[in-house]
Amino acid sequence: MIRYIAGRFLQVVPVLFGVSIVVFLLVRLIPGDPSVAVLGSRATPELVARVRDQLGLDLPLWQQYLNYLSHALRGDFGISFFYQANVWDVTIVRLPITLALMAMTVLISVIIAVPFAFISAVRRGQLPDHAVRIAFTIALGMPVFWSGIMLAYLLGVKWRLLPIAGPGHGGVDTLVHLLLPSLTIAIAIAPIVVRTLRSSLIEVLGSDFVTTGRAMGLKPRFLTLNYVLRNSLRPVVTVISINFGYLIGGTVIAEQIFSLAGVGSLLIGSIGTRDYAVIQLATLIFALLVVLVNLAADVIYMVLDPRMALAR
Amino acid sequence: MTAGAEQTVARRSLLQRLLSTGTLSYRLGLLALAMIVLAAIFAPFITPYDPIALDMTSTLHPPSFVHPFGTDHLGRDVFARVLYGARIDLQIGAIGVAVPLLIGTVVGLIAGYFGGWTDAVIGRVVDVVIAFPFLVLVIAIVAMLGPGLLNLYIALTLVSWVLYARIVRGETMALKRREYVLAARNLGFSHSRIMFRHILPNTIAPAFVFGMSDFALDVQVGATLSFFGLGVQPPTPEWGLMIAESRTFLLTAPWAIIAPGAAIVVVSLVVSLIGDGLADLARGIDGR
Repeated sequence: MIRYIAGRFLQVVPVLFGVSIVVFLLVRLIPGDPSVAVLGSRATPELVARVRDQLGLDLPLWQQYLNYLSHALRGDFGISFFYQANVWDVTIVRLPITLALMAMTVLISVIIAVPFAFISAVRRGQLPDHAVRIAFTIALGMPVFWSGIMLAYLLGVKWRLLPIAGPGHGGVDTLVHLLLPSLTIAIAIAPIVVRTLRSSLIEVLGSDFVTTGRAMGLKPRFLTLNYVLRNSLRPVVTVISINFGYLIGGTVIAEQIFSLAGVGSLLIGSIGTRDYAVIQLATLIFALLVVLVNLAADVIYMVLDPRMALAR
Repeated sequence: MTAGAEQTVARRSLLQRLLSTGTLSYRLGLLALAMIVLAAIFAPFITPYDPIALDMTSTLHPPSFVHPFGTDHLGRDVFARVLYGARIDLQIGAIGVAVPLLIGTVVGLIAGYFGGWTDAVIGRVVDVVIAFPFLVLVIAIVAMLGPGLLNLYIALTLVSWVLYARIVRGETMALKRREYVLAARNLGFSHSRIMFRHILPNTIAPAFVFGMSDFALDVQVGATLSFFGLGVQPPTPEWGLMIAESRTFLLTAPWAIIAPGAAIVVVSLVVSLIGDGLADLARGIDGR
């Protein structure tokens, strides 16, 4: 098992290298001279020369990459021209709210998905099953920015149930403020969870140990919670980790719609200010999150079920 | 000679099968998609309104017989804008699927068929691109290239060809050990002939099934970028852009936001009906 986990860690290394190359190459996509693009209307020949020198644009490409990498490993991602501050400092302070939003989204998605997946699995092929499937297919088709605006209108403005914008004042207040954004993203994530949970519930409900448990006269609620649900939730961990990039996409949109100062809204905001170094770092952080979450999911899976190591 | 004849037979029967068989929801999906495409093409015959012309005498009118979906803050007919917007949004979906599907299929075939270092290199590239969240990488690329529809297509292509390459590679690896491929090789057929004539027809079904869900995703991503001002630019009617432009009038004219969003939902739903049906058909064809 330890060998498997070590091997899994080693697999991540080339991916991380590749990710850093892509992020480095991003600025190469800027049409024309990147230093002119960075400076915009402030560009004078002297300033351009200084920025070119600072960005190392006159070096060969591979050397530029090595420079980028060695600086990045020391946490130096350059200076934000808009914030006049270290890019790392500007970005990293916004990570907690992004992570909180993601965690809450996962929680709400599962809370929404469990009852509906149960109804679907128990009444398989019947009207409730079809109704659930159609409802969640529609939910999957709703663009996050649209459902966010609609929810803010209904829950925030019309019925005045939830605060619509901003991060609140810390603690419980912040959690309450995160409810609407995470509900918005959860509407896009829950359909994926429902689909997976439904099929794993069907499998578990039909398995021998559930039949045995029923025959032994276990209370239905005890059986459901301790046997059925616990064994059905594992594929949910997998499906959420596989779709983590999709979850991040939702987070970026929701942060922007609901004025949350996270990494996602920083990414969107930095496009208008042409803060390319910030765009690079935000992109890098999101890719790292995907890689880490998938790694963590695999390792957790392994610890929960050591048979997996032998199977591979 | 016979190979060519066989192929036309296979192709026709595949097309026939795609149109004539399948579940009810699959056929309904095809019918609905055809109707949406026709409505987009023949938009000028369906609505008398110009989707761009301003009419400051009739701003923010609620839905009525004159304006079925109401008017927006510039007096433009929302129904006309949704209808004309379908042209752009369906185009985003179609191009966003077709180009990556083409590139990814060829690359996936090569990787799966030849294996070895070719496969290793392509595999690493795929792993790396997949590590990025789809929307984030598309946004980052468009941020660098600059806003606009063409740059959106470039970004969608750069990010999503890998998904098709991964699918086709897996299928090719499984197929290349089948007897009929070994037989073709023993007959001395060239690699490209074996890849494109013998393996490709059997790998394309899963790529198409994925393509349908990718279509819905591309429409959503395109609308999202336009919503953020990175995609289609005003005054072109596009659903995401329409929602962005009408956002400040949510309280007085919710119809101007509900209608384009509902259009996105309908397209996603229709496409997913077709995708599910195709998946069933693909399973049937392969006997899996």
